[in-house]
Amino acid sequence: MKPRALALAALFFLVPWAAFAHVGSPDVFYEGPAGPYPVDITIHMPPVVPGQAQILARMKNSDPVKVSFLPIYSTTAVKNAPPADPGQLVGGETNLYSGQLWLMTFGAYDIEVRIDGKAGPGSIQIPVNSVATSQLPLPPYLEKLLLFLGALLGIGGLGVVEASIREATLPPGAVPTARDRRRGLVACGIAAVIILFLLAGGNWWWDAEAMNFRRHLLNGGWPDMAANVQVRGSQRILHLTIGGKAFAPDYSLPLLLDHGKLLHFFLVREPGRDVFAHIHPVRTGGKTFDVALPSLPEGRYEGFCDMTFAQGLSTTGTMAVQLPAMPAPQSTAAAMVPDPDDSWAAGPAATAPTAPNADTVYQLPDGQRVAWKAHAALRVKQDAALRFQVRDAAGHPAALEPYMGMISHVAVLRDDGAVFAHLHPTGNYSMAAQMYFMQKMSSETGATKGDGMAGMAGMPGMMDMNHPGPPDALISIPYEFPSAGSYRIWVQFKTGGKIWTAVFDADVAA
Amino acid sequence: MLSPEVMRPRQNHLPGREPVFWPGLFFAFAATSMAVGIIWDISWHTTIGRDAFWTPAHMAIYLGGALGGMTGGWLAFKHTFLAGPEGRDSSVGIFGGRAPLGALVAIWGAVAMLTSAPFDNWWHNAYGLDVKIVSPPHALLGIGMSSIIFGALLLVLARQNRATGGAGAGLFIYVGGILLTMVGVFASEYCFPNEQHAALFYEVCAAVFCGPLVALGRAGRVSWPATRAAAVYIGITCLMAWILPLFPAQPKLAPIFNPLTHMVPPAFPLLLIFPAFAIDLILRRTPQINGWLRNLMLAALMAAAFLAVVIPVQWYFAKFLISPYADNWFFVGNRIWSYADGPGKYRTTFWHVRPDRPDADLFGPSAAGLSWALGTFSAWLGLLRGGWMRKVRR
Repeated sequence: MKPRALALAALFFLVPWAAFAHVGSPDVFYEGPAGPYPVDITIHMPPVVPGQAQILARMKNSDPVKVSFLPIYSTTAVKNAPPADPGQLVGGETNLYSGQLWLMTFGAYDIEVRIDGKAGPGSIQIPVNSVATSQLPLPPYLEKLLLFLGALLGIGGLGVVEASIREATLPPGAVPTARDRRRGLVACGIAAVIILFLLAGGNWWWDAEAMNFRRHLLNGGWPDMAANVQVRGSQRILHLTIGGKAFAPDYSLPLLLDHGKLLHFFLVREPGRDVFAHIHPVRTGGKTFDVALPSLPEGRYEGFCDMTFAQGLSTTGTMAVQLPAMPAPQSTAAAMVPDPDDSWAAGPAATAPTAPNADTVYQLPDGQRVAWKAHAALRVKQDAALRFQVRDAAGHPAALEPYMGMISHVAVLRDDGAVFAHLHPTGNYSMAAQMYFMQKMSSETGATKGDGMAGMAGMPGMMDMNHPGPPDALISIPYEFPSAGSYRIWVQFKTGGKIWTAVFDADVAA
Repeated sequence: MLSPEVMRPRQNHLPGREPVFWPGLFFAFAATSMAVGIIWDISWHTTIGRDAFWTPAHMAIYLGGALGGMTGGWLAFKHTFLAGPEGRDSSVGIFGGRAPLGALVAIWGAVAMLTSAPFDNWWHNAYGLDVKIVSPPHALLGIGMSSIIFGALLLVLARQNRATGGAGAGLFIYVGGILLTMVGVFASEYCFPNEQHAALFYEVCAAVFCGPLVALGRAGRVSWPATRAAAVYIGITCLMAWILPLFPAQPKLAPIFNPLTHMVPPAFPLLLIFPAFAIDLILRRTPQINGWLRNLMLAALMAAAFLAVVIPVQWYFAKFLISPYADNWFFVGNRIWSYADGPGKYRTTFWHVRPDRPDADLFGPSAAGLSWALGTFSAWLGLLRGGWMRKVRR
């Protein structure tokens, strides 16, 4: 089937079945402790189901440890999980361990990374979504090879049929007569017709399997979202309906709180991506949510909405909405009280430095400066080098204040909207899903692995309001860009009781 | 004007030299290796789950393919380049070369298996690891494997048909049994004991087993050939069902709904000896006849006999197999479930038989009629093929 036909088929048959955290960015990253061991973990997710996840765990030091990986499915008893797979030390490395895990079905999995060393056992739960996100194209060399072998089989098969009818029943020494030869050729012709039918049938079968695959393929946002904006007094209220088409009318979305919010909703004005907001709609019905918009200028906005379903499946819905101009201030009481963790920013990105090996600096209006530390040229599926340092107007490291349990929240968007990711210093997975799996482990095994069984505030990487930020005001985000292109990066943090947003651009090469 | 070749008299009555024994033995070994390998591989997938290129089950399949292809290749080389005029005359010609027909079919099967390997690898990467047996690359692999086994059958047939005193007839029966085993493996998705009260089971059975049984019955030169081949099928499947669970194993893929401790056996085989006996009985009383209408009537008769035996035998035997009485090492009744099949009533009930369910597939007069039609067509093809196989000498 031609690629264009495949694309059309995908459009017609795209029935989003499974969820997909982020958009176009399936790999999962973690940076933090696994018990007593600090570790960076990267999970390269397979684009198909069943498929094999590739896991890399880099220890922060070179002390010998044993690393193993255990997949736990969200709805299966932990006691029925397979034995943990031992990680292998990567050749030429002293602290990098790798392993593979088969993820056999659609849905939420937990990959428990276990580390055992001098300090005793430690582990960390990393939630992943097992969904089909793309289909491998048939490489040209393989297409040619299969065509060659197919032709060989076709021609060879015809030759065998012709020979079998012509002379297979003749006794040794006998010579085929003209009638034998004619019968052979007739059989050859019949076999050619049968082979053509078989090829047509095989092609139809292949197409049907590909169509079926695409029914479960999700390479964009899910579930469907619709939005409209109503002006109430001096406020613009964004009314969201999530999954109006995907779910039954009376269905109520079973969502988990993630960083204390049901939804994390990001708005980016297009074109230009010059305005950004990170807001938190509140539930008004089974599938409906409202949020009072901050003072965003009017225009067309792309929306990305992160949510985590019960049983650990996380996803990002996408939509577009036209925001009207701000209404005139009125003396009437506000229809909705804005969430104190809502934030927004407008303006261009930081200008790239002209000197090599220099930081890229974003200047905030109050004099604070956010420096994206100098880094090598960015490439796909390599460290994105997202390390930022915040300095106050006097040039000293700023006192970062945690908000929503994190020292920073970062959003990444490719210029065509095909890649969107919501990142934290601990990684890019859903912490609500992580908490779900930690509680599952705790309730089913009685274990108190990790240190987060008491709730999200106690989870690895989570910080309460009184937690001091890093003394050097350095924000490090584990991430790899999934594909080449131009990206915009919004780095959010809190100082002086106010949430700030720094904006950067990045060009990522293949 | 007639060509000199046409004018040359046929030497139909020359006895011909009996082909040597060892290629048939090699082919029989290759066929056995593949049949054992495929049953082992399915057990591997349903028990351990995790797949790799170098699993022993895969090695058994590859060994069978390689041995079949190489033996066929050697025979082709020998008959093309090393054999004298007499040797070359005991083979068929293709594209300037010569080989026994069975060798050519086996070579074709080996190329088909070879083609399926990169195709299957890409398929896994593009659409995910197989969760069902039947996929296009697996179909190609199955066609390749079946071709090697059919090539083995043709090679031993040529020996049987040329020999005097019954030489080669036993090997033909054995390889015929392997062929039935392969058919059983590829039809196994539709032949679970729990499916044997649904219409599809009887339709599939009639379509896939009638033809091979009739062909074997027609081509065999020992008494009761189809029955004996069916006994080989039952024997091989039973041996695998009894041996595999002796090996400890545990699932290594999540989610695991059925914690296993040993390799999963295949389901107890179909009792094909009974319908095969009916077919043999009819063939014994019916000499080879000509004319498509007569053959069609004979095929209809044999399909009816096949179903008349299969329906009561499997209907009641399946009831036994899903009962607690069959939950033992011999009948492996409730021991056939994979690591992904959790406990539940579905294990001990028949599927697709509740009329109020959307998946209902009740066996009634229309299903019986369809089964008969499919069986008739299959048996008709089997008669044609069997009649031809009986004459294969090269």
